Order: sequence, then structure tokens, then C-alpha cells
Amino acid sequence: MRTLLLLVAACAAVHANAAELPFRLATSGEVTSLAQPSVIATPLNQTDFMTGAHVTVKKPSSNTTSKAQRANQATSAVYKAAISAGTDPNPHPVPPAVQPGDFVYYEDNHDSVQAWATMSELGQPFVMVYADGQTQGSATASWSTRYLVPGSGNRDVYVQFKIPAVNFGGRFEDAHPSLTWARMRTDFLVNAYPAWSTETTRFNETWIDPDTNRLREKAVHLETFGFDLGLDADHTTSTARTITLKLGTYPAGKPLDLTLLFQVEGKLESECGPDGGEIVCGNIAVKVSWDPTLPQPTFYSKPAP
Amino acid sequence: MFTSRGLMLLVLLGAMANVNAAPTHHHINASAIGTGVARGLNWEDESLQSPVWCGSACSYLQVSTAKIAPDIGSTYKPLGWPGPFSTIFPDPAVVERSIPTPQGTVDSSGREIVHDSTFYERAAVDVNRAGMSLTAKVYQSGNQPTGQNGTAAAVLAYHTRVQNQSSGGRDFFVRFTAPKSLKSLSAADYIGGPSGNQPMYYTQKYAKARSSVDVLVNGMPVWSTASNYFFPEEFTGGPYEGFRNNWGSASDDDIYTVFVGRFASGAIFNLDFIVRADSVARAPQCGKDTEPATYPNPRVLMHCFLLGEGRDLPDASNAQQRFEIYSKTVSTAIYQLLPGVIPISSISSKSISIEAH
Repeated sequence: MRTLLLLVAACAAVHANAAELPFRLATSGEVTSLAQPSVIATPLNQTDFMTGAHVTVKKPSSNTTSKAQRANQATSAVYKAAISAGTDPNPHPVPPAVQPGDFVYYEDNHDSVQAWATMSELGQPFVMVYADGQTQGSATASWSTRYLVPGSGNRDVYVQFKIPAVNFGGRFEDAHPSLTWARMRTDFLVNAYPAWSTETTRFNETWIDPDTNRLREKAVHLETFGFDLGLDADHTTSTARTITLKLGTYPAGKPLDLTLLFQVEGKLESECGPDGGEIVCGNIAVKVSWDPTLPQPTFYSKPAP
Repeated sequence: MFTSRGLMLLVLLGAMANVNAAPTHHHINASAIGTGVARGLNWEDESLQSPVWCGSACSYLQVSTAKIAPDIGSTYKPLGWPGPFSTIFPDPAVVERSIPTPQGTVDSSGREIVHDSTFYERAAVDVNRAGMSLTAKVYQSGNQPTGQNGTAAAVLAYHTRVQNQSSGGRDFFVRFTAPKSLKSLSAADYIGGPSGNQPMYYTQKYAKARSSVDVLVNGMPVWSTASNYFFPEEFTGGPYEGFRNNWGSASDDDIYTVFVGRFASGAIFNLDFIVRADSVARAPQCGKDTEPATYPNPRVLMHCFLLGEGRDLPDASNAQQRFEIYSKTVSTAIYQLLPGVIPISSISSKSISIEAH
């Protein structure tokens, strides 16, 4: 009886408002059709686009510091670190790609955080936060453009872009346990509306070990809203994904303001501290990977049937 | 009889209301993010200069959407996407998607069955007691025909095209009241247990919620706030436990004035304001309290898990809550000595890197 009631209610609700925004993932047939000669393909760099990159970092007992860059039809790339001890191992933005030796080392740098943000002139993103101890950081990169639907008559409009591999990492130190949070957000906006989005958050769960009366890490959780990139506690790295969206049917000449925005953030609650003869800390790391071979975001306009 | 449940709701409502707190006014210089060129700003000087309101130099496009399971797409208002631009900041369009709980049903003894919530799922941009709000609520989900999670999601997006119509460069500002997070969580419970008079709970199997607000200039966030709640599938805590976290700027009774940068005469830029909320839950078991037969019209009270997330919204009719854009000429240039050889040719203004401390 209850199931029947729900079914009836659901059907009633579904049909109460039929008008839906036109954004959806393209079907495989539609993706194939975008290679047809009647389709006008416009790569990002053939539009009047703008890039942006912005990072913030914060270490204990200090204010947040930031760095930003904007560019028209060119790369925006910034790097910033907040270092509590020692020297910053890597003062350059990406590209070139970050190397293993570019990261702060907790024994030398203690509570320190690094953040990178890049949006290349070909729409290739890189955002990363690497944080040790009681620090936090954020990295944001985007492109935005005004796309004038080309062709004549009514046109079906699509966009195709690739999301690089996303990676979450972290380190829990029993001697100085820390709750940690990290998240990755990617939004594709059409006239400010998030037509496609994904957001994954990583956080850890702790418990008190009754044998030692000390805090231990019980579990790491990854939770996603929006499009599922396949990230979970057992899969902390996603594979690169090509996203093709249908944006709707518009008359030729219609302007659409489009943005692709990548954001990562990370923060830890506890400071580094001594463990025997060395300094140890918890760590959180999150990134949208740099891939210089990533194809350009491309817009497609094809005659509407 | 229901004191524990009532107390829990009271505590939640009390924490959310905070009606006597004086608003805190924050000032943020986001010129480096907005334009790539950081400019100095003395906020005392800013307060002394009269603003030039954006007026017809601003064109607003607004859309509200709502989506619940098992929808594929998002229902939206105003109809006719993308709607026409307006030169007056429009109130959020009212939109709703919901699945109601059964009304007027009785059990086998003829007692009316009354649910705590009038909806199993509800996503809406609508009017509440304080004005406009954006809501995503899920109640008792997981027992639907599909067996899937219950979900509700709502979005409000303002897309503003701003033009500097003055003859010279102008400093542009946006002022708004931060949309306050509207959280609600009520466990599935009933009165019983060994004493017969204590609250007993059915813990939800899975739940999560988020809400966020972003202000973007030409695709880059100059102000953001977000709130998360997670009750993972593997989590073994109680129904009122879980993991909560906030990101970005404070948004309880906070007013913000953000300097987004100086724009040249004739320049056009996009200023976006995006509010989102999502609730997801799987909690098939409900608590049930049956009123004694001595009551005049005894009822069966159903207490299912209820998860809500939302945000207060700007109100065009309330000056304190408007999303206002204005310009002044008050900022000053920051000169930065570039490292290395002093260039002889002019530097492209398109890619100057700025540090803000």
C-alpha cells in the first residue's frame, strides 16, 4: 500500500512540472555525430577567453596570504607557500610539472603548506594543495568565455572537455593525530548556472584506542556530490574523463557565457610536534593533475533537426 | 512524553535562529582575483565617497532550479531559458519539486497517521517566514519503489553583465548579506525502550548534505562559503552524530562588501552569484508513537529521519539583504618592482602577477 502511494505520488510530482533545463550528458550517438562535416567545432582558443589562477595558504599564527593572476587568451599560473621552518623547496608555478622533490618536508619545514594553480592557454588545468601540520590552502583555476553560437538557423550546442585525473592523499601521524579535510570541486557554468558539476570531499575519522588511550585513525572517507568520478576510500585517484554535454538548442548568434572552474582545498587541525628526535605532522594533499597533452575544450554547433 | 525530540529540535532551531546577533560587516579586497591587477583600498576613504549604483549598467539573468529523485533534469523558473536580462535585480524565482507524504490515511484501527514532514523529498526556492530561501530536504528516503537514495537539490544562479559606462576607470564593489546556512536534522525515533518512556532511535543508513554560495568575477570566485554534513555508510555513530565542516567565509549574520577591481571605461565583466543546496539520505525505518486510546482522537505519529540543507536568499525588497553592485573611484595603484632586468618594452597588462599579503 505504502509503495503504491509513493509510486503514485512520484508520478504526480514528476508530471507536475515538465519544463527542464536543457543541460545533460550527450549520448554516445550524439558524441559520434560531432565529427560530421556539418558540425562547426570551435576550440577554446578560437574564442575571446580569459583564464584565472588563485591560491591561498595559511600557517599557524599567521594571516592567510594569496596570489592571483588573470590573463586574456594566455596562461595564468601561480604558486605560493607558507613555510614555518627551513626554506621553500619549489618556488615555481606549473608548468613545468611538480616533481617529488618540490614538496615541503615536514622534518625540515614543520607546519607548512603549498598551493599551485594553473589554467593554460589551451584550457589545461592544474590545481594542488599540499599541507603539513596545522595549515590550510586553496587553489582555483578557470577559463571563461563568451561563445556566440555559429552557423544559421537553430543549432544544437555541445561542449566537450576533459577532466584530468584527480588525486587525494594524506598521512596520519599517531604521535600527533590530526583531523583532516580536503575537497575538489569542478563546475561547468552556463550563464552562471552549474550545468555540470562534481565535488568530492575527503575526511578522516578517529577513535581512541582503549589499549593506549591515544587517538588513532579509524577510517578515511571520500564522499561525492554531482557527477561521480569513481572516487572512494579504496580509489583515491580517478582516471581522466572526457565529458560531453548537450547545452540545448539555440538560434545562431546566441551568446552563452561559459566557465570551467577547478578548485581544491585542504586543511588540518593539529600542529606538528616532536616524536623521538624528529618533528612529525599529519598531511593532506589534493590535486587535479597537470596533463600537457590534454585536448582543448571544444564547443560544437550543429543544425537542429 | 516527547520532550527529548522537542528539545533536540529546539536546540537546532535556537542555534539556527541567533536572532539577536548584530551583523558583522566584512570588507574584502579581491581586485587581484577579479582583474589580475591588485589595487590598494582604504576602506575609510571608501565609506566617505558616495556610490554610483549600477542601475542600467547592470543586466541580470536569473534562474532557479529544483530536482528530486527520480528526476533526470532540473525543473526551472522563470521559464524560457535563458530568460531575458533585466536591469533591476530580480527576486529569486519560486520553484518547487516535491513528493508529499500521505495525508488523511488511517491505520487498521482507524487512527489517523500523521508524519512529521509533509514531504518525502522537497527541493525549492521559495518564501519562508524570514523572506526567500533555498531548500533541499529528504525525509525517510530509501523505502521508495526504486530502492535508491532520496535526493533533493536546488540551485539559484544570478548572472550579471556589468559595464563601466563612465568616461574613466571605476572601482566596482558588490555588497550582500551572506546567505545563512539553514540546516535541519531529525532522527527517526519513538518512545519506548525498557522503561517504556525513553527515546529510541533508528539510525539512518546513509546521509549527506551540502550548501554553498559563490560570487564569481569573470569565472573566478572572489567570495565563497560552504557547509557540509556527512553520515557515511560505514559510519557506526548515533543518528545525531556525523561529520560537519564549513569552508570559506563566515555566513551567519555577516554582511560583505567586496572590491572586485578597477575596470576601464566601456569594459564589461560578468559577476555571478550562485547558491546551491543538496540533501541525500537513505533511512527507511521510521519511529512510530501511537497516542493512547484515552485520547479524544488518537493518532499514529510517524517520526522518520529528516535531513535538510538550504540557504537564506537575497531579498530585493529588503535593503539589507539586496545583492548590490556599485562603483566609486577610490582605489590606488600598487607598484611592484619586478625581479630581474627592468624591461625596456612595455609589459603586457594581460598577465601581471600580483601577490596579496
